[in-house]
Amino acid sequence: MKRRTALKQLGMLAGAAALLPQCVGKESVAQASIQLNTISVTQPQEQLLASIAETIIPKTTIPGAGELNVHHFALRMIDDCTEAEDQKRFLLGLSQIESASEEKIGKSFIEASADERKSFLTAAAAGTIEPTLRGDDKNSIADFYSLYRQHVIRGYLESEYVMTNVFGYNMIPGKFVGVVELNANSDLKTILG
Amino acid sequence: MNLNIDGKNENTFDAIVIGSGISGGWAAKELSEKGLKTLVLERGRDVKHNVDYPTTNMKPWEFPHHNQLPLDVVKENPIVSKCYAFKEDAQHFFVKDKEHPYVQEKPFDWIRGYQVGGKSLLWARQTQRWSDFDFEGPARDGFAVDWPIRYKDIDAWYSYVEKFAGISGNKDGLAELPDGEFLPPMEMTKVETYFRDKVAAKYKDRHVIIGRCAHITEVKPIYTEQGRVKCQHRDLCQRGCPFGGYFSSNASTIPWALKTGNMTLRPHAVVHSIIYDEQKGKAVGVRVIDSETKEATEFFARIIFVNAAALNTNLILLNSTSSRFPNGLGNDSGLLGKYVAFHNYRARVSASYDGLGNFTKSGNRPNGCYIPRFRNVRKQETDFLRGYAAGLYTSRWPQRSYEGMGEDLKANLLSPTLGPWHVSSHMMGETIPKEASTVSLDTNLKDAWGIPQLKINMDYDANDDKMVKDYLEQLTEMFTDAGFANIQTHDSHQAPGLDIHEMGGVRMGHDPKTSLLNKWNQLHACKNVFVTDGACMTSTSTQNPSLTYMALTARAVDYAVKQMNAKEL
Repeated sequence: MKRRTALKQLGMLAGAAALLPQCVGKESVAQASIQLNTISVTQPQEQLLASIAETIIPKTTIPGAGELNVHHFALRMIDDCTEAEDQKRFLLGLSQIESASEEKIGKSFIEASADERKSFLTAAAAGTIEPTLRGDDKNSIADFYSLYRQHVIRGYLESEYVMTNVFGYNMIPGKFVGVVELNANSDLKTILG
Repeated sequence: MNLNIDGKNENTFDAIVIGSGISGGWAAKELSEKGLKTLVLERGRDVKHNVDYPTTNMKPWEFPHHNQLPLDVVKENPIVSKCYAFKEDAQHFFVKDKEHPYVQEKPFDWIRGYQVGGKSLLWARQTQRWSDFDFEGPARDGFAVDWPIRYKDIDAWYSYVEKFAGISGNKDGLAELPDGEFLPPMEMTKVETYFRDKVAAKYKDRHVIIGRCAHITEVKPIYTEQGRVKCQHRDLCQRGCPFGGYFSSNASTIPWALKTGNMTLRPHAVVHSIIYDEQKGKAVGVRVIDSETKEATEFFARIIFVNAAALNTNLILLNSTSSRFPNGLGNDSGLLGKYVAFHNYRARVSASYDGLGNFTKSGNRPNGCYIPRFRNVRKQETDFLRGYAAGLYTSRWPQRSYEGMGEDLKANLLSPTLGPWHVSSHMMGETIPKEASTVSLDTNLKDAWGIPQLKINMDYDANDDKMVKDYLEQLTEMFTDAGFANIQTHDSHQAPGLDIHEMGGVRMGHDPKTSLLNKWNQLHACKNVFVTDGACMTSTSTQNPSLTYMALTARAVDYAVKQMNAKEL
């Protein structure tokens, strides 16, 4: 129980750091590597976000979301294009991940195996992982995940690698052809026109 | 006010053009080509072709928010944020809400571009000619006043500007939408030609054609000479085109005018008013306030072209008071600022089509299909006056599952298929200019340059509502006949202004008692002042108006210079 209490306090600190960056964050914990305007995210949280992004869209023969730094795009979107109320929920959920992970799988999310991370996030998506801090909104982790996942997917699909190498993005088509016939062998580039 | 009156000579020109947008650019080109020392005053900053298009070559992923605007920008700019093109890639070409406030006596979304080139950088580039069915509208249907010109007066000038600007289109042979000097048309998609044929089979008077647009689709010496090449189908026009593929003042008329050596371009020059000389009985110059230093300067010329964009042209004339013209320059009739109008863009219809599933397109088409007005063209046939044109676009969007996590999700994301054809149309309705539709000067509120703020008062009326209803019904019927599914009708009830086709207030007409301008766009009561932007429009018809402004401008300059040479001006 002692460990649990300590973790809760840690969680509380992390939460406070995320919510009140000007009071605690900057002095005590290194900040994220990208410049943020309205929210504050620590370096460990940045790594955590990269790890979550990579879990959502992992490396196969094609790079995953972590390798493509999609978490930076997601952070920018949450920083600049998201209502304050949703930012707050995002940060609250984010601040709960590590303690919830310790509780659920007995280790830090970053140190967990790919399968453990995946099952943790699956449970998070289903809303079955509640924050370890009692009194906090029960849905904060699920809300965090849902918002973050949207931005990860968008950032991944709109990344240079995917647009160029998978979808064949061509900024200067040079011409417009109104009628292109498709067949079973049409590749993605043709399909996406 | 710190009046700078030194060097009257260096501040004296043959001609002054107020504004460098689509019509001001043409005035600048024509005047300087004809050898007149021409001063072009632009209230915004300079935007040099290519040099000042900071986003033009940026890839989608290079925008910090992938072309979405930060929330604080949207919240600070509730008006301009409504404009479809106000995004991360082109926001620097729009006037922000706080920069130039105005008074909305009725809701009006005033979308403005204050820079060299004005809104010619941002326009949707649709260029259709008017026909006599349009020019004769007010006289036939008994509204506004009769246009003092007919198609025969402007036909050759349409050709003149089309050849220089570069207009792509198909010769469709329609009396209601005269053919022009077209470069090759852009292609239609399979479902567009299918729809065209379906419509043609049922309705003799309805035509689905490829849009006529200001894009170069064939290399010609006149474009090479301008440094412009063919449209590359990037469809990123609002950023400024590095190829000069579409017509803008920046890519075309302004550099052309500069090359003559006769044009002086002065950005950051907010025109306060036009100076009227009581003894000479004509305008002699303009008062300008530097937008940065707020310093006032006067410039002088024999003739003045007012091309400040429709509503700002009204503002300048209203603010140009003298004992001869206490209510604004040339305003003997008391009609200055009245009978303003716009285009009704409220309604849309969309649908999907499951047929022709083995067809798609490639490349991007910065253009759409166009259905010319088919209501009340040859005679009155509905319970509303006039009619609407319609835009029509078809596309197929990638569809994919967003389910799952990890490799499953990734496989879903990376293997999209093509959804059914999506078909969408929007209306472009003629609105009737009315005396009650006005712009006027606020007696108390001023802008940052000490100039009265403009009060805007115009709205839809019952005729517009009937037209919206008819458009929705007719397009629904046409879509249904074509076998389209999921037909959705939508009336946005958007405020006037968002169409960015505001017109009138300084209308043309035969009679000085009922109009401000004569058939040469010359103020009846102050002959050396010409207005050839949207302010001159007697009625609005349904065509995108810029091409008509270009033609009227070139025509008016030709007349003005002939009059000057004949010592009439």
